[in-house]
Amino acid sequence: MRIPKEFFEGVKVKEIMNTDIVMVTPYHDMKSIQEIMRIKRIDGVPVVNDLGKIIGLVTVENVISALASGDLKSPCEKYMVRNPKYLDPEDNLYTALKLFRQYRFGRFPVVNNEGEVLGILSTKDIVLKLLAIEEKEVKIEKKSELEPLILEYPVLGGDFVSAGIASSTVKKVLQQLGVEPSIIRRVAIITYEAEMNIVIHAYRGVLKVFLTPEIIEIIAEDEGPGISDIELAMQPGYSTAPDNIREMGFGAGMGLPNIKNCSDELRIESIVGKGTKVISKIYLDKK
Amino acid sequence: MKSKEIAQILNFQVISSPNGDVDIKYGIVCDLLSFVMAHALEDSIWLTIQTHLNTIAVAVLTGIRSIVFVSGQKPNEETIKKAIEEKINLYVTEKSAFEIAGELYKLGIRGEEKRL
Ligand SMILES: Nc1ncnc2c1ncn2[C@@H]1O[C@H](COP(=O)(O)OP(=O)(O)O)[C@@H](O)[C@H]1O
Ligand SMILES: [Mg+2]
Repeated sequence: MRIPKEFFEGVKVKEIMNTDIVMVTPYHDMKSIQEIMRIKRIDGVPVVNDLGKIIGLVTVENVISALASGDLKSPCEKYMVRNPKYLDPEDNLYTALKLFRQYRFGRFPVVNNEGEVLGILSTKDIVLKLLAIEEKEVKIEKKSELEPLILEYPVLGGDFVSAGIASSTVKKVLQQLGVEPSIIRRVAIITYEAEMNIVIHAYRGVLKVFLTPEIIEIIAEDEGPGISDIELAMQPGYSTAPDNIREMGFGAGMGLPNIKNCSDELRIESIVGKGTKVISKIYLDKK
Repeated sequence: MKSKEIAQILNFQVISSPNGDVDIKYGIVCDLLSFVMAHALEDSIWLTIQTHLNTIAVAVLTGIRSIVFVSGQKPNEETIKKAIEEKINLYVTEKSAFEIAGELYKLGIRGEEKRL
């Protein structure tokens, strides 16, 4: 089915935009905006100055960045998109769709000549217009619009105080995004074991998680002694962890086997004397 | 059964109870963290002698709601602080893990090994 261009040109942005919006000031913290988004089921919140004129837009992506940095207490000014692209209420839907295609954003504020925000137009509003159906339950239909979401955390060898923070943060972000619990569970095991291996066996490294609608890729890369016999290291029960580490309950030699069990695909690259890279993939779309 | 009810019935010393109302469904007894990571079920109570900070991360990651430090093991300040932050209940008992597991079983708490 092709919808004629004239149809879109005949619909004005102001007729289909969502006017049930919440605006915030630059001093609002990210935590309260996260709550607003959750409760109102919206994914963009305009930021206005004391005169009520738009100066920014906080999107779900911005909230995720703040969340990933454990920084939800910060004012939204720090994370918002400044001078966001916007639509005019008199624009037609065709113009709007071109803007959506050009910028690949999920929503645009609708702003009049005075700089006042009248509403927000999201892809959701357009789909609802096209289908002419009532809005019922709408989940955060995020994730796919932009580049992959990337989470990245430094991990320090021997630092048992911070150990586990990176993987715990990853879990929380995935929960926020509504990723399926069974998948979160697997990611939690992989990230925890990979993080702990850097803490226990290496000097320093990074834990990275890439998320797209199709795949979650976890990469743990470190500078460290490397692994001379990867096949042996993969054996359940094999561990070179010293006694004091074992007494803490680490070093059961189950880390790499656990990672393998939870991955759809696993690759380990290691150079003795240089470091190790663990690349694990989980496919999300296989049914 | 609620975590705080279990704590009361089994006479645990309550170290932190930020989420005492949570419903506990399963139990796990183990001191190897990788094993707990692989096998603990969501909404579990965990009996262990490991009291260091990393136990909290393991609880957060697995969905363990309450930790009982058995045989009189006591957590340090850092562990307690983190537990409160992450809403994990902490208890201490002089009894052994074996004794407490038996008591929990009588209360209807079951163990289950998560198959990966
Ligand atoms: N990042 C790493 N750098 C160096 N050696 C590693 C690394 N990860 C794992 N290893 C080696 O592989 C062994 C097995 O790892 P694992 O299965 O996680 O068990 P554990 O960490 O309990 O020893 C480790 O004891 C160590 O010798
Ligand atoms: Mg390990």
